[in-house]
Amino acid sequence: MRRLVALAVAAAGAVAGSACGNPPGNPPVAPAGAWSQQARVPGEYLVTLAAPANAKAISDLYGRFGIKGIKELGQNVFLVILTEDPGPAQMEKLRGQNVHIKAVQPNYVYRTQGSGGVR
Amino acid sequence: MKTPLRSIVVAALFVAVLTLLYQVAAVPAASPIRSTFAPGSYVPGEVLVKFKPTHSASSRASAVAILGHAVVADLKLPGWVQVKIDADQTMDQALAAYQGNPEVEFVQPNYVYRAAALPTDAQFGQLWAFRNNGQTITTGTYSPNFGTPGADINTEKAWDHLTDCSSVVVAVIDSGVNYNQQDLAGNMWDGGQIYPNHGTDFVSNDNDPMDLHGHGTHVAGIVGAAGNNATGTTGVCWRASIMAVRVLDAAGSGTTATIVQGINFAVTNGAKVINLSVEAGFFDPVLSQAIATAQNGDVVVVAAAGNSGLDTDAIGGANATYPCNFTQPNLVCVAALDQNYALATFSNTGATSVDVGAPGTNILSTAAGTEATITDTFHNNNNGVLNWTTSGGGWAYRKLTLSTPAGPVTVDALVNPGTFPTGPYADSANNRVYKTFDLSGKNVATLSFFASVDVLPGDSLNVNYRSGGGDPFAGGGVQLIGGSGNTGLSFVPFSFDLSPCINASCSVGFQLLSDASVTDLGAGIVFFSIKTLQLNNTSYMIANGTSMATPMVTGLAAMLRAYNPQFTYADTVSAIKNAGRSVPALAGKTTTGRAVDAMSSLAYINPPAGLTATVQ
Repeated sequence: MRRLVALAVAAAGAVAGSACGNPPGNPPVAPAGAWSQQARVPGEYLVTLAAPANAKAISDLYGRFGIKGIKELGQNVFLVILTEDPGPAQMEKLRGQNVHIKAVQPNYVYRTQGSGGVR
Repeated sequence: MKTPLRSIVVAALFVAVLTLLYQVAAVPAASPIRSTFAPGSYVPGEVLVKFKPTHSASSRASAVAILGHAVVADLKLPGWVQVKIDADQTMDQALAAYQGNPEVEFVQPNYVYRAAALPTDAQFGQLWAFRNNGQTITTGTYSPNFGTPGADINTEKAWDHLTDCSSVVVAVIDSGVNYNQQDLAGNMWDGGQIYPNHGTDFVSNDNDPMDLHGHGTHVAGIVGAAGNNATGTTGVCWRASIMAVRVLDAAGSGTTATIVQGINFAVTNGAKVINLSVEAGFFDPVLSQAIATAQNGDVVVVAAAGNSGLDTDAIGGANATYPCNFTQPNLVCVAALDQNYALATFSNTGATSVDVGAPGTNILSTAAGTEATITDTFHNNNNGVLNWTTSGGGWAYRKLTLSTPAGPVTVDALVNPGTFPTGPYADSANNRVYKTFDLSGKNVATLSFFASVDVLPGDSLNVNYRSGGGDPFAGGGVQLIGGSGNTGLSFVPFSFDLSPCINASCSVGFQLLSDASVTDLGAGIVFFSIKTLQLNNTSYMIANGTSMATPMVTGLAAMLRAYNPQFTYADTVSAIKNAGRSVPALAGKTTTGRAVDAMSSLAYINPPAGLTATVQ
């Protein structure tokens, strides 16, 4: 039997809708769980260093979570891949402890597709 | 006696008239507006000069002779003469010689005009965006599929002036480009020995940006499929230099990291226009910085408004969509219009964040290959019985009614428990459900579905595939995603690359595992599909989306910068935004209320700033 339930189709570009519209400097905090994290890549963060710091500052601050890889993207921005994912809130909290780390944010996911064949 | 109101009205009229004047192509003698003109757009060695009416024919001849030039003809228009310039002079130098002469009112190249001709491309008649004569688009998927004659971006007239944009490198930052496609192969960027495949790939981190999704190839064809070659379609530019930058994977997903690397690569390697047909719903400072870096490199970034049907300025910014809600001046955000220049139902809008509109429905363009979609409704013939193989119970088929921006929609769903979303799912469960699909002969396969999940930590919802078929959780299976989570009663989209499973028997399954403690609502799966791609070099396809509207504007930006090599990003953005045609459907929903118009943008010249008018 058909039944009306209070379910909604989320906008394709707004996965993890709680992340929408956060002002600069306040990265969204995704709920825990693999199915809740599609707005960001679990365990991956983009760290912006304050010049002239080098990547060692990243290891010093976030090494406690196990660093699987660091890749420089240019403009003092580094992709950091962690073994253990502490979550965006904890990453941001730690950032304040090291003056060489200018900013940290999740590695967000972007998509092309909407639903119904719309691209 | 004049009144303040009259002064304002007269001043406004003056500005309006002045603006119109500056939309003609002649260059005022004292205004150093444009110093280089596109080759082929004028007669080499000739200029047209307008002297003040007080000059006689003999005094005009003398003034010309002093510069080493000669009058070729009197144009029989007051003051105008056709002049042969010094053979050693460039057009810039000749124009400059007259621009400094107070007795000269105007000087311009002797432009070349050609009889309006349509390109010979076999499917040009389907390209309503370039020539809308009210046609119905064969295999069109968006309704209404009929048009209003004249509702197009007015490229026909623009093509009389310029079709070759190859002097401007356009970066398509997307899922890659099938650079061997017959209508694109000759219009790809020359990356030399370092980038022999016309770009690079930040997904696989190699030099091969081959498109394994199809999105980027479609976008590239709208910008610059080869025109007038009797083959397929044409782009806004008949000749182009398209840099393929792969930042989205086979499932159409990318990350801040891949996109930022793509932008930096494009800027570093000489792109002057970037097409960015991606969207996400969160403020992303690193992406914002990359767009600012592009601005510093004098690069125009054209971005898609997004396909969620939202006002992205509404709800105090809660609907904000990026990159369009960034505010860099080199960013142009594009909404999608249908064949009647009504707003496409899926298009986002924003009175402060979306700039212009462009055609974005039933758009035919180049394809990476042959695409096919396998859909599954989890039951046969509407009989209400789940037709997937199950193990351990729990899973069931049911119809759910979902709320969408377009209203309630009833859909087929795979659910666990059968009462989802009222739950709860069972304790100590190992519920499996799977089905085998034939993916033989394909190059790429992508699994997509929308899921609503409410599974507690300690429990797990897993999605596996198994090459060869059978139970994907019984050994030999590969996990695509697994774990707990809560999507908040919303169905959110998930896509995964299923290419490693390409063969005659590929099984896909869902598993709900739970411990002995409390449980929650469970899971629902809807819109299950597997999209396949078989690469070839001769395919074309129809697509809808702001992703398709965006490259219309990207192509125009390339055209403008090819026509005006001295144009900065600011000049280009200004010509795109200010020279469009007013469209009622965009009024109050975009910053300009306009749809782009190629010919008007080509003719547009910025009016001087800071003018004041005194009413006598």
